[in-house]
Parts: sequence; C-alpha cells; structure tokens
Amino acid sequence: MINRRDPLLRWGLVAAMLAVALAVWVHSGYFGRYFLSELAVYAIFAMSLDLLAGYTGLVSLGQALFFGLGAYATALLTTRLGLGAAAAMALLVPLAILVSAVIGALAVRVGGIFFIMITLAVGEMFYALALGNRAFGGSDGITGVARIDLAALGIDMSDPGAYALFAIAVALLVFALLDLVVRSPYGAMLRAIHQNERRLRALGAQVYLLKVSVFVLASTLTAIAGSLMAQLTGFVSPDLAHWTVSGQVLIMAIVGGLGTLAGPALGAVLVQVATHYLSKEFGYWMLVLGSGFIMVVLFADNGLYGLLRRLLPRPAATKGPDLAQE
Amino acid sequence: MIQILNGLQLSMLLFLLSVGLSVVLGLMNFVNLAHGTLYMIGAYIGLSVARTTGSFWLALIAAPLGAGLIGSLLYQVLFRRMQSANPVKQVLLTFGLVYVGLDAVRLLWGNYSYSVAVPPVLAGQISVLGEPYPIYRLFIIAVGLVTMAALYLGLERTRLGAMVRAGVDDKETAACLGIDTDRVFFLVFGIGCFLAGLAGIVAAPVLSVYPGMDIAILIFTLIVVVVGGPGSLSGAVVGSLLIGMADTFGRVLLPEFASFLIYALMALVLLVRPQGLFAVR
Amino acid sequence: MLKSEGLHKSFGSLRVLQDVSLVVAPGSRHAVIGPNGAGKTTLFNLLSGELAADAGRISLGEKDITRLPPQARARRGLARSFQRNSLFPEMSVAENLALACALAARVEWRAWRSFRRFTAVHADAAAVAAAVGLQDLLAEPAGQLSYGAQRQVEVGLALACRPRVLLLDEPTAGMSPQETRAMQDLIGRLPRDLTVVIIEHDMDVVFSLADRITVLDSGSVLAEGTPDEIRSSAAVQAKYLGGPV
Repeated sequence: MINRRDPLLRWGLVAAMLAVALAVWVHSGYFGRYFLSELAVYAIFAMSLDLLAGYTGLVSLGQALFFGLGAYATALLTTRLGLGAAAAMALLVPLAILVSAVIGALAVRVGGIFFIMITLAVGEMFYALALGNRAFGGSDGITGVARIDLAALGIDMSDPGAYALFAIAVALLVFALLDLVVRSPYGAMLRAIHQNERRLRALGAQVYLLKVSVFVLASTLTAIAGSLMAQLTGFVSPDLAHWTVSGQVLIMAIVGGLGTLAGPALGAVLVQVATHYLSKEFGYWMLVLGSGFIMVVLFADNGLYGLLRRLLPRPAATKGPDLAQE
Repeated sequence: MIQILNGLQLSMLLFLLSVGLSVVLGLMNFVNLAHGTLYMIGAYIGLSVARTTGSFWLALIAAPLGAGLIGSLLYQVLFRRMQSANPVKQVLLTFGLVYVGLDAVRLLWGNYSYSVAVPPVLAGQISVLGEPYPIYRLFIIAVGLVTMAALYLGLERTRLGAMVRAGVDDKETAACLGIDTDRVFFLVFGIGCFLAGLAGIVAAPVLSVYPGMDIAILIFTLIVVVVGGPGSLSGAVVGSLLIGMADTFGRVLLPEFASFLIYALMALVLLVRPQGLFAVR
Repeated sequence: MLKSEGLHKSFGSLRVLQDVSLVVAPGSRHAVIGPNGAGKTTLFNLLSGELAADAGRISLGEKDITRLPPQARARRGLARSFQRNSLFPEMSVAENLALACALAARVEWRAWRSFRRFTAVHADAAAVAAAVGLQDLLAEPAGQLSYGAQRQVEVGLALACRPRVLLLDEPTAGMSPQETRAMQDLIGRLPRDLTVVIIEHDMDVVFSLADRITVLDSGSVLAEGTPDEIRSSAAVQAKYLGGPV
C-alpha cells in the first residue's frame, strides 16, 4: 500500500542517485561521462515502462519500438532534412503520440497476457521494418546524428560532460513529471485499473480511454529517450528496436521494483552497469541476466525498492484517518 | 500451386508450434514465451543426433522427445510452483528462460548457423500437378496433417482429450468433478513441448538452425494464437492456415508489405473479435 | 425511475432470464427475491450493463440505457454493489472511497495535481465512510479487512458514486446477525430521493425495508407486489417461503 512515506523514499532514492551521478561526473573522464548519459537514457526508458507496466499493469514487451521510433525520427529529421535536434525532438512528440495512439487503441483491447504477446509482435514488426527498409539505412543504420544545439546558452554539447548533464537533467525532469502524474487522481485511476478494472468500470471510469492514454504517455516518453540515445551515439541502427531491448528494460524495471518509479531508475542503472561489465568479461551475459531475472521473479517480488522499503523503519502509527494517501 | 503448397508447409509448421501454445494458454491461462526456445532446442538436439548418428530419422525421434523432456522438467521445477501466481509473473519467468536458452544454445553449439541434411529418401522433387516440388516439403505437410488428425482424435475420442476439453472450458468445475488437473496440465504441457521439438527438427532442413530462430517463429506463433483464439484446436488450424498462407502469398505478391499483412490481419481480428476467431470463451 | 421490459438472457442453450419486466418507482425500496439460480444476479448484471441482454429494454428515468456499457450507466446515476466483494485490495478504505468520489466529481483525468489536494473529494469519501460505519478503518488496506468490513466498503463504493439508483446485490451475504442489523440500519438511513433495488435472501431485511417485492423463479417473474401481497400469495408461499408465513 502506498503511504505517506513513499514519496519521501522515492525522492530520497533519486536524490541519492543524483548525488552519486554527480560525484562520478566530477571524477570521471570521457568514457565515464558518456556512460552516465547512457544510464540516464535507460532510466527514462525504465521509468516510462514502469508507468505502463508497474502502475497500470499493462506489461508491454514492445516498447523498444518507440525507443527506435524516437531514435530514427531524430536521425532522419536531422540528417535527411537538416533540422536541428531540438526541432526533431519537438516533431517526434506528435509522431509518437499518433503511432502509440493507433497501436494502443488496438492492443489495449485485450487483457494482460495477450497484451504482452501483441506488443512483442508489434515491436518485432517495427524492427523488421527498420531492418528491411533502405530508406532507414537497413542494417547499417544511419550515422551523423547531431546533438541538440545549446550554443546559444554557451554550452558545447559535443562535450560528453555537457551532454551527460543534459541527459541527467532530462531524466530528472521526467521523474518529476511522472511523480506528479502518479500522485494525481489520474495516477490513482491507473493503480485502480491494475487492481480491479472491472470495479473501476462499474464506478463510471472510461477504463479503455485511460489505458490508451497511459500507453501514449509512456510510449512518447520512451521515444524521447530514444532521441536522446541517438544524439548520444550519433548513430541509429535497428538494434535499438530489438525485442531484447524491450526485455532488458522490463528486467530493469522489475529488478528495481515495479510500480515505484525510482526503483526502475535504479534498476536501469544497475542492470546496465552489470550488462556492460558482464559482456566485456564474460561472453554469455544473457545467461546471467536471464537467470538473475528468473530469481527476481521467483523470490524478490518488489525488487530492490521493496527491499529498501523493508529496511527502513516503519512510520509511527497514525492517529485518526489518514485520508489523503498518495 | 507451388505457392499454395509453400503456404501449406509453413502453415503446418506454425500449426505444430501454435497448437501447444494455444491449448496451454486456454487450459492454464499461461503463455510460455519460451515455447520458441523449445523449438530451437529441439532443432539443435536433432542436429546433434543427426550428425553423430548420421540418421535423420533418429533425430526426428530424439528432437521431440528431448524437447518434451526438457519442457516437462521446466514445468515441474519452475512453472508448477507458479501455478497460482499472477499469470503475468509466469510469463515473465518464461521470458527469462528465453534469455537463458539463447546463451545456453550458444554455449553448447556456438554461434553459427547449421543445416541438417534431408534424408535421401525424402530428397529430390516430385511432380505435383505438372510442376516439380521438393518431396521434403510435402513430408512437412504430411507430418502436419497427421498430427492434426492425431490431435483431433485424441481430443474427441480419448479420456484425456475429454478432460482437456473440460479443463479449457471451465477449469474449476473440471477440478471439482475429480479430474486431476495437475496431471492433465503436465501432460498437455509436455505434449506441447514435444510438438515444438518436432517442429524444430522438421523445419531444420528447410529453415536452418541458429540462435535466435526461436524468436523469429515465436512472433508468428503468437499471432496465430491471437488470431485463432486460445484453447481451440480449430482455432490453431484455421489460424495457422491463415497466417501461413498470408505470409507466403504476401511475400510473393507484395514483397514490400509482406510482414505488414500478417500484422494487419492480427489488428483486424483484434478490432472485430478480440477473443480470437474460434475462442472457447 | 428504473424500468426493464421483457428482458431475455440465455447462455448458449441455458435460458437464464425470460421476459423479465421490472418497474421501480423513484425513491422506492424494491426487493428482488427468489431461490438460488433464479437469475437475480444475472438480472442485476443486465441492469448495470455487465452483461448485454438478448432482448428487451432497460430505461433509467427517461433514457433508454439498453445499449450502454457499465461505465456510461454509472455516469448516468446507476450504481451497484457486487455479490462477491470487488474492491481495490491494495488501497486503503479511504483510497477506495476516494476513487469513487473522484469519478463522481469527474476529476479522474486530472494528472498534474496531487490527489491529496482535492479536499472536497476526500471529504466526500470520509462522509461515505461514516455513513457505512467505516470511519475507524480508513487507513486499513481493503484487502486485509474482515469480510463484513469489506462488504461495507463494497456498499460504500456504490454509494460514493452519488447515484440516483442503487443496486445492492445481497449486501448482507455472509454477515453475522450484528453486521446484518448494521447494514439494515444503513439502508434504512439512505436518503429517500435515492431509489434502491436490493437482492436479498434474508427475509427479515426484505420485509422490513421493501416497499415492493419482485419474486423471481427460474428466470421468470413469479409474483410482484407489496410485502403483504407477496406474503399472502399462495404461489410464492408454495415455491419459496416454504409454506404460509
């Protein structure tokens, strides 16, 4: 149950992560800062997936579609049309909204397990599209993606340190936004859908529309993450939309703790760090990731966030009704 | 005509894979995303057996048995304890297995793509309505049809079949009637994995064996299950025919849009009849 | 206020409801009774929109609601409680009720403001809680409450919708005599401008509350009238009350 302690823990965790990130930023060189950007991107991806899967209960295995969509839109708009990355980011929002609205309108019509299956299938469709299409560069992808230009503010985005701070700032912004959403009446509706959508419908809620709307919101944020990734690496390829990416982010969210927002952000950082080192040292990192994931699903239901929660002292019993919960 | 046969061949493969997934879904409300992994493992086991013994026929026996065995083991060790858990959790578990399976296969067999030789008896072509057509592909179609018939008879005529149909219809009532749902689930799951392994070895000479073959076919299989409706044999038959034909003809007639056709079909079904064409419920 | 005409419902070849007509006057307390399997809950499911009727009409006030889905009917003022508790188990009692009140206040789409700041909604929720006797359990997760308390939340959720017509499906099911009395008092205290239709097995509750009673048997209306008429009806006595009452 969500109680007054949760926003504190959530923000506390994020503040701690931010502090560590800044410390790392100060002490690291080129690669460390580059890696921080990558972590920020995955944190955004994981948090947006959490809104969909953790809060609303719509577990999607196809969100990499939107990650790829955002990345490719940015790449195409900047390289083929010569637009700046900022303009590209602005334009990809309505694109993402449109695509996710169409997909969501159809996919959300079916319940949990089917939804997983369909999102997996649709995600693969986009991957095949990106892979097969010449216009999208095929399997070679597209190179030469420019970063957002903040020269007007005196910031040189080609500097990995600057971009890292930018990415972290965006991640923080996304967190704050999602935190607000989750604490709003709309957020309460999402959690209610997860727990008992039939009852919610009987109370008068337009459950279908609510589901489509959260799908659109989550997917659009994921597309923004995709754009940030494209700008970070300067390069997009179909691999960004591969099902393993969808899976990996879901694993990040679950390991961190579904339905907690800060948990998935933490999960994203830890899983990405682990994957990075594992794939360097040990070729079969999927084996480890998969096994670890199975363990988490079997034994650690609420992920790392749940563990943290248990470690902290319980709040004193509140006297009288505690009405305004979350 | 050739295309019809090609479509039929693909449909048969899809059928072998989807029927197990579909009945398990209808019976246990459980989607095993690792179903494709069992298909892949079947293919690899078949590959190894074929190479060491030189006999395709031995591989044909070993692959389904191997897949069925591994599937049953997984069921007993992992899935059974999750029976009462949230179905989404179960699905996620199988998803983890997909990752493990991929690397396990790479570990044991390396990252290359292999092919299995067609047995001499089935090699070569035969004339079908005046046009030459590979005998082996006809063999695939035959395997599919025989399986279809066997499953139909099994479901309609045997006690186990009746129990399965009862369980798909209403699990709780079936349990109340004294049907040992646990055993039925176990057997059904095992048979599903057996068929996946069979599909794997049967497909091997045509589609080749490589890590990642599981997901490619899994997507198609999932679409077949969505379109045909879970828990229904007819749904699996019609669904696999639809998708198999649509994909084959799509690739020939509209190569640019081939993959879209399948997804469009799925979208259409979702719009009009979200529970699938032959849904039991 | 609530009217159904000629409702039919079959599941495959099983005819569950046949030509069921029901007229509920505004502000009245109308009970639906009958043996198990008579189709009472199915009738409610048709009225609230969970199931679609095969034939027949349903109107709420002047409006024909036969084709409307459950959420549309709820928004027009038709709320129901369920026979088997259907709550939001991981939310507190207060949160459960606040959800319903938020929907009644049409604020469910507000995404940019903390729910906590919607004081009117929370005040409503507290009022409903007090009305159903849950004012001391507001912080408890609904899933951990006793059965009787959950039943209270169940009714509370329906009440929180601020309905014009309230359908209560066996509100006292599984309750102790004490809890039943409390529920009876609660229903008795409901405002007279609220129309209440109630499915009940407890005859004491029925005869003390109802203005009119409809008796269902095997999917058809066996009898309909005031409590006295029903009590003295030979047909009803024979079939349902088990001899003269």
